[in-house]
Amino acid sequence: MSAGDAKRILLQRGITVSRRSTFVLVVLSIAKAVVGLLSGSIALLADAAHTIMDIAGSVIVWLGLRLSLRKPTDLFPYGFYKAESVCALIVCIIMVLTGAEILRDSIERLYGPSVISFRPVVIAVAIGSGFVSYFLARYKERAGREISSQGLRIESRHSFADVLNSGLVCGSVLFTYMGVSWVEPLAAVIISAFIFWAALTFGKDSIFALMDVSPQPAIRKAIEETIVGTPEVKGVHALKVRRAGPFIFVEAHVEMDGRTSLEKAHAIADEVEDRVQEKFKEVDSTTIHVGIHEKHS
Amino acid sequence: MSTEEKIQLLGKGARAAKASTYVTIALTGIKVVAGLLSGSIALLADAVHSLSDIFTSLAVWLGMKLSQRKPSERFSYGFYRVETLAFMIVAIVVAASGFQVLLASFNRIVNPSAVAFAPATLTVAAISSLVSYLLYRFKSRVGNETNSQALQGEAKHSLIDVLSSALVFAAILVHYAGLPWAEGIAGVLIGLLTIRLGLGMGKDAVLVLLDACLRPELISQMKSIAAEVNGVRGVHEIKVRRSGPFIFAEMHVEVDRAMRMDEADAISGAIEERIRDSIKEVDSLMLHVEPSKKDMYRIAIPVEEDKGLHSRVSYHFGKSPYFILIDLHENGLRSWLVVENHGAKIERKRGIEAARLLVQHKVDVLVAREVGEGPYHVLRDSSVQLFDLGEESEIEHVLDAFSKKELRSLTYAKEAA
Repeated sequence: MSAGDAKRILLQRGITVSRRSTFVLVVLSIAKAVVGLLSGSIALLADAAHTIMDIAGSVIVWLGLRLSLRKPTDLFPYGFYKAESVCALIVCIIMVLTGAEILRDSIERLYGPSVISFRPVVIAVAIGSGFVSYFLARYKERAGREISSQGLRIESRHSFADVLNSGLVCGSVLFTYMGVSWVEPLAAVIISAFIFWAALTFGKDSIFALMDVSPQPAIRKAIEETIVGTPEVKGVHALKVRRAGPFIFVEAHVEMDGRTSLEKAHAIADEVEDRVQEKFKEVDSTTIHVGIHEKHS
Repeated sequence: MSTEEKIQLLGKGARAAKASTYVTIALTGIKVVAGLLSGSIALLADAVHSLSDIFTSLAVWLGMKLSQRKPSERFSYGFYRVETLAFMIVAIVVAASGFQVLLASFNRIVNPSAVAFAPATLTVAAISSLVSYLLYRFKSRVGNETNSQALQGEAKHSLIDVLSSALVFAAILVHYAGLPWAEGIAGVLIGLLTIRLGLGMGKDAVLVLLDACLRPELISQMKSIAAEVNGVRGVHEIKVRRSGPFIFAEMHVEVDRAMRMDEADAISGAIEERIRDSIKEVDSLMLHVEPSKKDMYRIAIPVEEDKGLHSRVSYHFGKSPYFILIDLHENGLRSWLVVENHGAKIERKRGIEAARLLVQHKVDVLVAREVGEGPYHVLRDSSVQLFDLGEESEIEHVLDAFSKKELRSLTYAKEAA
């Protein structure tokens, strides 16, 4: 199995996860709409409409991962891995909009707490939907970590926000029974704060990825050590490491003795590339420029 | 272009965006004051619309300021991409404002309302379109000089403002001509134009962020520059991508395989200098120099028996009784020879003997399961490439994997002596 196949398998796994979660969300949305129509609950219909945003986010991440799978072309010589970061950024924007909406609604309620109708069916659906969302959040977070996909991880936060939202629906009923009217808007503010926080954290990560950010300093240092640890390599400089979707691109100037034959230097450069790619599975491409050691010492 | 020159260029763009921000704020102020004094709701609405102009100018200003930062450990390619992100923000705002104009104009068509011609409105509209036109010229010029997409996009944004302000005059004309719906139609057209402009810019920004190669002519240019340098046998794998106003490039250069490192280094230095001289916007340039491909490779594989290409592969190196030497020609022809490994029978330093045998036979490549440290160095000193045989047992498969460059390189096994 070549390194390329391993990456395809990783991406394929992400695609499966996002496809399944899209499917679950579609089913959930339809269930809400049907129950809403049957029971005549406007709250449920509104919730079904909200789930469409979730579906959109899920589909965008799915598309991003599918695009990432494409082989490099003349127009995209580095491949399509960054499509994943662009899609993660779009999901973050959707989340900010969702959070703003929740915030607006809750502020409106704060000024004029409305009478909420207590329908067992609404609560039952909210609890069911909360469980499904919780399961989806866990599922996407695990897969997102495994394949280091920003898109899947932000989608996991998106689902977790849905869990909180379902909790809010149930909680609002409970608190209104108890006659405390300020708890619900307050909880909504906290939930939208969570959504903003998640969207901004991951939005920052995606923007950084689009700006060719290095992975964690520890990985960079380990790559540097791997290069220097190759026999005959005298030093390394101008090490450039950048993220592209779930993968890493490496460029480095490797220093060698000027008397080395080019053939040998090239073989060493090849070995450096192999070592780096062997040790760091997420490295997609390594480009080595061999330079003379004396010049830089 | 040196780093200082690049920073100066970005600074020039940042100053232009800053000036544009101030002018736009002043223009908005005039609209608010004139609107309040004359009580014209149209002017106040226009002032609110100008907020989006201030916002994009500010975004480009900040973007170009940030992109001047020196590369850091965290951002080893520098911050030029911030300029591209600012361009994306401009694109989104332009598209959104086009959508808004479209909706408003639709409303006008459906409910044509009487337009009030306050002299104040007309005067301000005239000033506003003149100022917007001057801003368009200014940003367009500086945008081209600095090669900044964000400033060029901002220039187009100002041009749209010229059109929108001109629309007020159009409204008067059509009023006297008795065509109340014409203003709405013109508005719809401007709205559609703006949306198209915004989407087009958004596409350009996303393509840059996805590392697309948007200037394929640079590839042929780099190719011909490198080919002119003495000693270059060929170039391949040229990749070009954009970051803000600058270009990042990488290229594989083939030179004579008999060269020494210092000679090859001089060649890559010469190529780099020439490319930077003729393509000023190149920032990061990565040259990977490699020996030109040989016409023929002699590949050695340890085998258990002398049955030609059907021999069983041996998983030993020094202890292997035979080696098969296959000459793989570029034109697809191949020939082979099986040599006996006399060293297999001796007690010590079998591996070294085997390695010397292969060097004597001018082997280029060895594909084996394992090799000790001594023989490894003997082979590497003679520039023999070593590849891992892995679990492979068929010679044909090994040759196939070699041709497809699927073999992994092999280092010596630590425990083997």
